Amino acid sequence: MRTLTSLAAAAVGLALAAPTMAAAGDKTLCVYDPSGASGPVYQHAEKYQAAAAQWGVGFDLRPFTDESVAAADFRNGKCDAALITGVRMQQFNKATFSLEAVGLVPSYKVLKSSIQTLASSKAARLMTNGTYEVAGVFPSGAVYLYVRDKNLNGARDLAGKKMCTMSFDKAANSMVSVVGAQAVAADVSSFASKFNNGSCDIAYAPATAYTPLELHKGLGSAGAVVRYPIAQMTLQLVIRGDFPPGYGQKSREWAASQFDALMPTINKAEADVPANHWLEVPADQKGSYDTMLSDARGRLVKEGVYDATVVKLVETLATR
Amino acid sequence: MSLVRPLALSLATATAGCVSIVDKSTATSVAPIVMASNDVGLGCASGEATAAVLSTVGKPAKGKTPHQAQVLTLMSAGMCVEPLAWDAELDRGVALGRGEGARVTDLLEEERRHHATAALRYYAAWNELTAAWSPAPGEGCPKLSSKKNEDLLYVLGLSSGVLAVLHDQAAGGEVGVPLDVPRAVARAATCLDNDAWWGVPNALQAAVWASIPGAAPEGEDPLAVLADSAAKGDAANLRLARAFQVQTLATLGKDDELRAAIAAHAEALTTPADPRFRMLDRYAHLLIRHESDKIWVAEAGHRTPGDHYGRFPDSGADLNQNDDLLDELFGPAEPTDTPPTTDPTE
Repeated sequence: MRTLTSLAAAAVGLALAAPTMAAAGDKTLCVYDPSGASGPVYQHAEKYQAAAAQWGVGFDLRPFTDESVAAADFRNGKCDAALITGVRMQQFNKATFSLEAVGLVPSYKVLKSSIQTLASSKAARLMTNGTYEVAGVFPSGAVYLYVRDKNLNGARDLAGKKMCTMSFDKAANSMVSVVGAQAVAADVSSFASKFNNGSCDIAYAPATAYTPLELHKGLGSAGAVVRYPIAQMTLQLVIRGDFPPGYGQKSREWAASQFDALMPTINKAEADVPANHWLEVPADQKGSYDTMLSDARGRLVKEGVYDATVVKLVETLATR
Repeated sequence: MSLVRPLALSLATATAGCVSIVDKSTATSVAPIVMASNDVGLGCASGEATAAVLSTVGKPAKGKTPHQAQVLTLMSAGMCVEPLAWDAELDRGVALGRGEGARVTDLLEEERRHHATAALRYYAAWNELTAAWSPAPGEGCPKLSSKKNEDLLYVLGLSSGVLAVLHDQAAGGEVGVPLDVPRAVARAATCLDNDAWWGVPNALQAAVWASIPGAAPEGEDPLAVLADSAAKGDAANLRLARAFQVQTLATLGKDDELRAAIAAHAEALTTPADPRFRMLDRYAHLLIRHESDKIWVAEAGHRTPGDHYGRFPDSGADLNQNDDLLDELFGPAEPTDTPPTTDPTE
């Protein structure tokens, strides 16, 4: 499942005095960040730009606050590379998109191991799809359920409840129907207000969304963030066209090396959610969550939404 | 001895509970003089020099210090570091253009460190604002005395809050400025008279709306609000709202609109700034010029030439626009791939 992917980034930045350098380069990297060039994703892209310069490739960075436009510009050849969320990668590479499969990655430890394994040269065949090549995967935070009523913490309790759901997120919509909830169409700009004003009973987002989008208002004293990662949000870099031989592999290795540097921001966002807003899942209920998500994942593999090889690989890594 | 005694007396007086006097004199005596100068460097240096001293006035252990005065000094101190980050960023752009990979990485880190220091100071200014007035920003409107220049300090404090978040983001969150500050700023901006403050309150609000998904109220167009605010500032000869508009456009990647706004600013500069607030107008100019510099560095490899402000590398006149007339006079031009005439001096 995939959430407000865009909020992976949602640690906010503002438009003022943003340190944005559209530096001279012969290639264009289109970067999706809901806060534009002042957001954390764009800042990260600048680090990538510096690394690529050391490999002899100059990138111009272009910020996009609408991810669908960034993806479309890449698809239409207006960008040589794009840094977008995993959910948008379905159209470019099903294998890395599948890292965001529902319930597949239970912890950051497994996510790190998965990203590193997929960055191995032996996994390179999974990284290429036609003219597209994935040149890096980055962590962006576990996705949690936000519920306005903390009594809605069991899978069975979700039936009939209104859930803010991204319309482009097929896996999420599938999940909503599996649990019998009612999807309320939302997008990155509207989900927080819909959750906060009660139009939705449930939303899903990483902890990075909690503070900047003021989700505590929707949670109030009766709601909670369920501490059970229903998916992992990732940022993925995809390239196309004329890059030097071995560029994609070098880029993937660099991306994998950045995992630990990116985690403090995610960890801080999770630590910033007050303890009274976290809801721990009792051990006896965790099994039912695992089973529900595993069943849903299996169905989506059969439907061809997720890549069976990657799902199997990560499931195995999770047991190590 | 003769110098030490007055200073000691002054500090003794202050520490004896004259925090409000320091606040008042800073707001009504110091601020007007600083604001009337167009030397941003001088203003920021004054802030750097006095911020630490002011923090010792009163009863620091009990949090009773001249908070209002500190808003001004700490924000000014932040303005000293900002240009260092800008220069590192521009140098990074030059290095990128030259393909100097290691230098790019080094300058990115240098820039990040300056952003962290700027964030630290702006966040301190924001915290002084929250300590100086209640209710807290965004929770309601405090009673601000225009006579005591409190509304001016409030404007500066709100701007500091936004700047703190921005710089901290650019520093990778090193300072830990809370990410709900911008929304508090947007709400608190409604406490100020938009007309009296050159469109800045609405511009601040709209810049926040433009940067946080879903923050804009239904029916509000942040970019339209910013354009209105910029026009208001231009008309008042205090172009801070224009700076907010320019930087928002840069952040959103609205390149055409960005160039138009910079050009509009260049045009507006033909009118001198409001003499009471030359410092703020000059600061706005520096902010906008930095955005212009980024474009010039990316496209031409150097900063904006002074006599080209408001224009861009690719905006030269179309030299071929009247070629039809020349063709009539001289006949069609020779093919451009004709080999150049050999230099007879060779």
